[in-house]
Amino acid sequence: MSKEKSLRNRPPVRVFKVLLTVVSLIYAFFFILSLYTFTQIWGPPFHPEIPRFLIMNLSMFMNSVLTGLLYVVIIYQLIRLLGLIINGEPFNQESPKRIRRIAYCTFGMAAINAVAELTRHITMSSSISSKEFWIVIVRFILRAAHTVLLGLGILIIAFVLEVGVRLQQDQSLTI
Amino acid sequence: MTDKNPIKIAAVVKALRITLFTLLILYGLVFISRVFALIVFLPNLAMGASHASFWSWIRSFLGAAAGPIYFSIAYAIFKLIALIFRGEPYSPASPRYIRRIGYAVFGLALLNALVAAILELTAPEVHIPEVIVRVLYGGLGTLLLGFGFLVIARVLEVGVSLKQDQDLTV
Repeated sequence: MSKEKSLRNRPPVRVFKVLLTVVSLIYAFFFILSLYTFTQIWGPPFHPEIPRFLIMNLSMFMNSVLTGLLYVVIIYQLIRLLGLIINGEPFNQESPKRIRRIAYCTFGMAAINAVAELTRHITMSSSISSKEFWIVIVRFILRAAHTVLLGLGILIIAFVLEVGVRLQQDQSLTI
Repeated sequence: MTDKNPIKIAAVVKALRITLFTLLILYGLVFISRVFALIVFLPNLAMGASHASFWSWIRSFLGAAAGPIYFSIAYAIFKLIALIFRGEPYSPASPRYIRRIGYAVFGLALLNALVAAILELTAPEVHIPEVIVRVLYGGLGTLLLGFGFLVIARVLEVGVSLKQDQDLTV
């Protein structure tokens, strides 16, 4: 446990915390800015043009607002995870749960990105040729595959951490 | 450690491995077709293509350059899975692989930002502040995921030292 306690003062953890806070603040700024831009072009509430506007800008809404919300959840989970490390409890039962939540958010982003890509093509072009159709499908697979790959990686790490939690419990019992 | 849980974990990890294989095969096919398309278009570019098609080729090239990075991520994940199957998830190599994934994700963030910047700057109407906002907004998200991997690598480092302590105790 002394090694874990010593982590508290190790520079990388502090640096991570500072960097994460800075990146999160900048991200939050851009997220609010994109929300503001979206509401500005949206117009007044209950406007008759809103359904048409929403369909036309569905991909933008998904990419900027929905993905942004998922990133906010990821930031929250990362901050809580860092909190656990700083408190000297990296193998708390909460850790794998938090990492798994990050993985699910990543899968959510993959789904949103892929659907956004599809809707962008459907709403922007009136007729799609067979060649264009295949290009859309390839982009759809690429977008989803990129993010799903990262999500799978995170999920596997969560499993590794679960073993770690049990190791920690075993060690506590031995002591 | 109970006997029931490792079996459960192994089944899930096996399922994840199969999913990863399927995904890699799909991605590999798309990647090969993309590289092939780039090579086919290269002579046209050398013979003097338009400004727009030149930037489009560069964008596609950068997009394809992300392929090797994804393959390196997949390689690191496969190595991690192999360690889990061998019953050594807390080998000193584990945090190293996770850290490599983190650095690869940083590289992806940079590539994505470059591709987005080229796409925005070669558009018919360019509004620089909007371009900066969009590029940063896209890049920062991936950067956050990279940080996530580095944080998890740090947690795993503690796990490795715990495991070493436990082995010494036994």
